[in-house]
Amino acid sequence: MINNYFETIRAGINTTFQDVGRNNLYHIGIPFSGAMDNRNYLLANRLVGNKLDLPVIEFAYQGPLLKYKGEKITIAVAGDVIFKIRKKDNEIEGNCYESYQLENGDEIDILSTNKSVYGYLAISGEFNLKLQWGSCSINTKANIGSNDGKKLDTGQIINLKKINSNKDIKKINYINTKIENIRIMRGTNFDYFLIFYHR
Amino acid sequence: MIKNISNLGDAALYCDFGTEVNRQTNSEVIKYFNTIKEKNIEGINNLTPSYNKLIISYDLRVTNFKEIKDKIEKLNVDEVLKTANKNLEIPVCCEASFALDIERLEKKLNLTKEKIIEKFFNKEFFCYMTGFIAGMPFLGDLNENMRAQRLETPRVKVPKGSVGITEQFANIYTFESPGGWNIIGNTPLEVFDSSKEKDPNLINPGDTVRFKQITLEEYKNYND
Repeated sequence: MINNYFETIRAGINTTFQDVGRNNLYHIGIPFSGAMDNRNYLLANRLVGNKLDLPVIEFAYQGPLLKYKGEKITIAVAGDVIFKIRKKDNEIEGNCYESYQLENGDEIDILSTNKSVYGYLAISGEFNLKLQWGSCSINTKANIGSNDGKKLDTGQIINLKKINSNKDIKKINYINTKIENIRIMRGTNFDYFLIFYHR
Repeated sequence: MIKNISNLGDAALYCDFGTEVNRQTNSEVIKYFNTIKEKNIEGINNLTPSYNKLIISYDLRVTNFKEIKDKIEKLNVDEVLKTANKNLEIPVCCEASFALDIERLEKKLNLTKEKIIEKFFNKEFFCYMTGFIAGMPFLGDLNENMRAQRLETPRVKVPKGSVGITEQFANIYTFESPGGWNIIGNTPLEVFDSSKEKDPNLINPGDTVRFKQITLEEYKNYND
């Protein structure tokens, strides 16, 4: 079996593995965890033909620079992200919500997020990760999740345990939601501050 | 008993047991928490018990406010529960390099270091809740003359294992974390262990805890 892996040439500011997270642990001080931007997390998985609950790489502001070694693989980036794919003899300006193929030796350089904090990188396959409470989601405060609960470091190897044969290139026309109105529901203390306001 | 149930956002119930912070009220919260956990009610995806409130979060795709409220109101919490509370002993070393705020506390409480330590180790504590950081227990109640406010400027980093006091409570920092409690010692014991998925917390709500003073030598050799 060929060993397929990514090497982190640059880890980025806050790069972690994330998925749908974990429930029923609030009472011991463990939050939901999981991808911060659920919609883009799901879209990234969909674009590479994965099951929607598979782990992806989440990054904030500056993402990772990854070198890929192994068999052909499809990748996609979701969010509002500036990234490049470097192949042997050319460099491609990446578009979000479009899948690309990586070959042995190719690099993906996630330079920065644009009008959002978080972005997602999905691969057509599965990272080889240890799960805790059924989730890979990294919680750096309590060192829970894959990668010993720590964010990714420069110079580390990310092994893949499976590659899906799906080689379809997908593209969707999608604009990151522009929220103009945030709808809220009154909470229990909604009037609490009004009392002070009227004093 | 629950005095009032209201919504907290669109996917949680806020059960109010009153405003008092005492063992009796908190025991009611814990009783509801344990019963709901054991009943495994469909759609509930998180329970957050505190001193005198219980937040019940649910999945809107499965259930709704009215359904869950109805089930909670009809709940019989007086059935005998399997959950057994533990009595625990936690070793703590109060050597100067661990007792970061003991001198500050002497001034705040107008008690000598020896008196503070004596009162602390003679006390039996009750675990009200865990959280803030994973596994951190909130243990009460300190006597009136041992109650101090938080630090005016919190520390950016409180060392893992630190044992601190604030107001009527003592706690243990299960991880290095920012925090403002008055630190009087450190425990070598792992109070939270995420590799034990079924029961990662050493101390759970309802448990009683006594601290036992150990020397620096004992502290260093504790995990050997």
